[in-house]
Amino acid sequence: MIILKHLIVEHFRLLRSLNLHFPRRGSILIQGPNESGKSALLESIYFALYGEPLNTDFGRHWLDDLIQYGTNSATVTLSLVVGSSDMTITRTIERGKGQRVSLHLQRPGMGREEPITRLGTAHDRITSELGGIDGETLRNSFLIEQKGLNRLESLSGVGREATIRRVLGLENLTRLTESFIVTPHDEQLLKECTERLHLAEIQARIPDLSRELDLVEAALDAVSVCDDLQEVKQQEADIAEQESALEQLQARRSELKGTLGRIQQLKKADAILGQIITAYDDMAEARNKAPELEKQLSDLDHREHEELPALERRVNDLVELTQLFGTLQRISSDLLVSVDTVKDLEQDIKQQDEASDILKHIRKQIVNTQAQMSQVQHRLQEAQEQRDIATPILAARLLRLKTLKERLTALRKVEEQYIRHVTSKGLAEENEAQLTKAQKDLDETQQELARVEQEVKHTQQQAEAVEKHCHQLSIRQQLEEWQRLKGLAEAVTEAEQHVRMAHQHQEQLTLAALAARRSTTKYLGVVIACAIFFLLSVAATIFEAIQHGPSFVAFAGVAIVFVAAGAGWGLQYYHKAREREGAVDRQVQDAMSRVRMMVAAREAAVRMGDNSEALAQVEHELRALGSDVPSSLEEVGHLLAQTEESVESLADMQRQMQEKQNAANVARNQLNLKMEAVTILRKERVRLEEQRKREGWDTVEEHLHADQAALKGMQQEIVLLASQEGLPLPSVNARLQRSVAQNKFSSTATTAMGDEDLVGVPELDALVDSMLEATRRETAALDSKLDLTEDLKAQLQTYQHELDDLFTREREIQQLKAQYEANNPMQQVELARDQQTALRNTLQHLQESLRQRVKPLGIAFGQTTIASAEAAAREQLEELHIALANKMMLQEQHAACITLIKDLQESLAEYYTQLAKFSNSLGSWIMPPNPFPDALAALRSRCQNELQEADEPNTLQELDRLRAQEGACKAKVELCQQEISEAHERIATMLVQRNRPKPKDYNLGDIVTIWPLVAHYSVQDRDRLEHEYETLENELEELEKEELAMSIQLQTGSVSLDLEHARTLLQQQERSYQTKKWGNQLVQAVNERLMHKMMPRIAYYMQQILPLLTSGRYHDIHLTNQAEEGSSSGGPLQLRVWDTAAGGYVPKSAFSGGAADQLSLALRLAFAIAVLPRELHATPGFVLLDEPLISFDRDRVQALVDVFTGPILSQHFEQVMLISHSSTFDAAMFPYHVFMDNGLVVQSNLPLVNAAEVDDEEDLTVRLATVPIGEA
Amino acid sequence: MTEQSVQNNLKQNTTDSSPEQQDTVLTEIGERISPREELIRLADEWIAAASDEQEKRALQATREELLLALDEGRKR
Repeated sequence: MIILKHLIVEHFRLLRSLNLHFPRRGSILIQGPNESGKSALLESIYFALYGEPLNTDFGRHWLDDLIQYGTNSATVTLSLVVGSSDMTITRTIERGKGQRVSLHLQRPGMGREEPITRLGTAHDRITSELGGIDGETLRNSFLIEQKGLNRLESLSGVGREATIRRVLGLENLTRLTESFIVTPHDEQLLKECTERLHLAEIQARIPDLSRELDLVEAALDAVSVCDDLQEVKQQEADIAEQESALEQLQARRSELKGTLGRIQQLKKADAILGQIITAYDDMAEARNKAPELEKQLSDLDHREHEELPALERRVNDLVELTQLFGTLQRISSDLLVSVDTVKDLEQDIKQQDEASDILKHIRKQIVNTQAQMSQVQHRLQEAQEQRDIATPILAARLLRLKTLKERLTALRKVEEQYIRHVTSKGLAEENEAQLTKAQKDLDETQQELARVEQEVKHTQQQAEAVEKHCHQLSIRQQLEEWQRLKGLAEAVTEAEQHVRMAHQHQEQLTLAALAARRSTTKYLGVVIACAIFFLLSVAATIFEAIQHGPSFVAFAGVAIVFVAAGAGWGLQYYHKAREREGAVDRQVQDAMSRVRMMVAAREAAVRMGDNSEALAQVEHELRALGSDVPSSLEEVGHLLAQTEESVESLADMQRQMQEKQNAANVARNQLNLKMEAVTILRKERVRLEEQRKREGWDTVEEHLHADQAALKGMQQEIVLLASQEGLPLPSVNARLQRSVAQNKFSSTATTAMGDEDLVGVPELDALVDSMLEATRRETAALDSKLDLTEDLKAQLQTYQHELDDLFTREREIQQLKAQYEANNPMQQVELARDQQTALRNTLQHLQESLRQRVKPLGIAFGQTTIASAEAAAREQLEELHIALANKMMLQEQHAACITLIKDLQESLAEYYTQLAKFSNSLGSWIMPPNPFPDALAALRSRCQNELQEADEPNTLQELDRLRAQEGACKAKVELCQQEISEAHERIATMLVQRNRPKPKDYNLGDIVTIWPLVAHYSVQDRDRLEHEYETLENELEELEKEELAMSIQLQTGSVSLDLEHARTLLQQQERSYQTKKWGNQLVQAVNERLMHKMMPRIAYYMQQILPLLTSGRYHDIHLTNQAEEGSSSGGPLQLRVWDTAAGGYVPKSAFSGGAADQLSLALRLAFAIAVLPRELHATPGFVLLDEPLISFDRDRVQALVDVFTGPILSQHFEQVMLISHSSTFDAAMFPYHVFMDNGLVVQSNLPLVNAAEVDDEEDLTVRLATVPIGEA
Repeated sequence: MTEQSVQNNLKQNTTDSSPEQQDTVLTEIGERISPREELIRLADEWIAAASDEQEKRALQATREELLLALDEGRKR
């Protein structure tokens, strides 16, 4: 609870000097005439608390108005009790220099703190110590002024709720609301923690999975071993089965081999029987063939001796005749050659005559050709002479005409250029007008642009100023927050120091208590020793008195007295030591209590001030705002004192800044539009200028004059050329006039040119073209004559070639003629005819001789017949020789037959011997009973039947099949053995991989001995294990992928996260998240519920106060209000009072001024009571009333006194201070009263306090008041 | 004016409150307001109304945090 304790005022407004000690409990009436300083007393209290006057007229020297006239400074010192702490505030105002402050706090058991002299720090500390109750809150609740009597009714719902929150200490809850907002950062953190936990779980799961995978892999290996062992067993069974089958196959094969031996014997017997039959057949045939061969041999002997010599003679004769016929043939050929030679010679003589005639004809042609050549040469010479004369003349004329043509063309171009320039002149004038208009528009737009730029600059400066102000305000807020947090942190440090000091003090007292206990024990020992000695002495004295008499008794009595004195002395010191020990024990207890209190205070300070994160956040915000983090609280106080405290909130400033920025953006957009318009106009101007420059409109007049001069010069030149060729003179001007008139610029052209010419250039062009064409035709005619010369030259050359040919032919014919004359063909004809005659005679004699020799041979004459006869004779001779040659062969055949018969007889004997051998195994039936063919055939038939029954092919096939089966069985056995070997190798490899020793044998028992896992699994487990392995492998792979992805996402690198740590972090973050989520809602709900509760409470207390104030006239009220945005309990309060006369609830406005003031006062008092919290640590225990009711009658005065001094207010407030200028109040009605006049207390019954305490406080006040303002 | 009439009038003034809230207000009308007690009461109501155990625990923790913060603010 906050209690006013002491007030010292010097020269504050009308107060000249005042020093009041307020009672801790009771109503105080402050009376006095007008301007006696009563209200200034309340204002001094308000000023001491908040450093500002009640009437806030913020002028340049608004604080100076608080200084009494005629003085230069004012001082107010207010002491308060806030809970268990004492707070003393001293504020001093110096005229024109502002105020300085000194805040002094003293907490119980913690000594006096260093005074706070910085204004901002002191203000914050005072507000903090008062539980957040600022001046506005105080004026809305516990400070009731006459001029602010309606303050609560005019207060908005938001303002009212703010007051309630501050009084109830709900501002902390409101701040909690701000700190209990779930931000995206919190959600991000929660998500990140969740992901980290997931990653940690994955990372923890991966090794487990790997181990499970290894176990399943080992189990699979064991299953593989079992599988291999089962395979070995199966293979061994297969081998036994195959060996049994092999034995059966071998037995069957032996049986089949016996069958095959019988078949072979039968086949051999059959073959022998066949050979016997064949031998008998061959012997019969040889015996038939031998006589025939003997007959052929006798015929051949006969032909050798008779027919062979005759044939040899005839062949010789025919050969000779054939040779003679050859000779006859050669002679006939020679005769025919001689006849052909004669014919050739006669043909040569005829050709010789023809060559003489041709030679004569050629010589005649030569003469004619030479004459034609002479004529052609003459014509050629004439044509060349004509060409040499006409060609230069035509060329010169053609050149002149071409020159004239070119000049006419140039003249036409100049004319066109002239006409174009005349046309451009109008366009140039139009362009100039456009250019002028564009320049004018550009100038106007540039002026507007400059104006808009100024506006933009101005708006931008305003926006920057507001932004700067907003920035400074943000920094100030952050500095204030930093100051608060730093102060809390330093409070924690101080509390720690206090705890340490308390501990040290406790230790010292504990040592002192121990020393006191030792001293007590020592004195107690002395007393006990003295008592024992006393008792012993008494006993000894009695005993000795009985034994030795009174002399010793006297001596013993003295000793007993000394002992008793010693005991008394020891007892006295023992009591003192006990007292000291008790005192020290109490001090120790006090010290322990103090330590506990200090520890509690430290823990409280730690709870309040251990907010390093918030401090770091504020420092971060300060750095972000571009401000340095202050090094100490003094520095931040200094910084805050340097910066002006703005009356506007940061949100208002930001809104203003946003508005200014928007205005600046609008102005910039306008500026951009203007700049674009300027750019467009500049481009238009540049385009027009470039067009003017490109078209050359600036020099169009000069071009016109130059064109006219060129036209005149060219016209003169053309006239000269035309006159040279005899052509009519041209009239350029007339044509120009027509052209210009067509282009609507006839006036300019007419004035520039004369009109004396009559013929235009186009007519001259036609004449020049026609003359040029004529000249070209003449030149062409001359060229055609030149072509005729070429023809003559070619003709001349042809003649020359013909002449050369004729000469060549003449020489050839002359050479041929000379050759005929050298051979003499007539003589050669004579010689050939003589040779022909001789050959005919020889031929005739030879034919006669041959006829005579042919006739005896009996054949016709002729070479062909002779040759045929010779060939036939030779054939007969050859046939005979062949027949004689067969004689040897027949003799050999005859000998062979004889030999064959003998051999066959020997073979038959051998065959019978072999059959006799087979009869042992096959039976005696195999022997032939007789050598006749039927018996042999029957025997052979039986043998073949036996063979057929034996069925050799099937037997062989079966034997082959048995052999194949046998081979397959052996191969299968080998394969099984190989499989067994491979299985053993696999088992051995597996055992090596599993670090197992080599087994004694590859059976299940031995392997289980060295690897027991094999006994736990069987082949049936393979599918399950493989499925399990695949599942684990997939899961592991997915987890590894997920781990990699999440490690990249969370940037954890290769570091493995601690699962417990991640889980703890997630739990903390979840708790923080949930706390924020629910905390925000809870705080808001509490806030709303409290606000909802407040209205009935106000009404409740008002209904208690109002009847007292109105002497029971009004007792029932209705408090209503309208809904207000941002306020959960509605808008401003509206008061309606039950009026019995009206028979209903009447609004306050319907009442008279005095009654309305009563209602407002009742509402203010009810509100002040209703908002009091149950925890009164920092709640005002006073209510201050400054002339609440101005005009009231005696009854109302008494009612008011009853209220102020009655139980309702005293139940809730310790101090009730009423100020009134009226003397209506009787001071005796109040427990305490103060009468003031002329700024001084003239009468008071306030309690007096200890003078030392007063001196101490005054000394403090004086000491603080002497601190220069510049240091504050 | 009897206590009953006062309470009736108060009941009329709190027409926007629920019946349970109105009863609570009437029983507490003569007592001073305690934000701490109000916070505890409301948090307990929410905890009792919460169906989820996790939500109950979160509300419990929030309640403790808020009370701690409130105590620190009051002692400050």
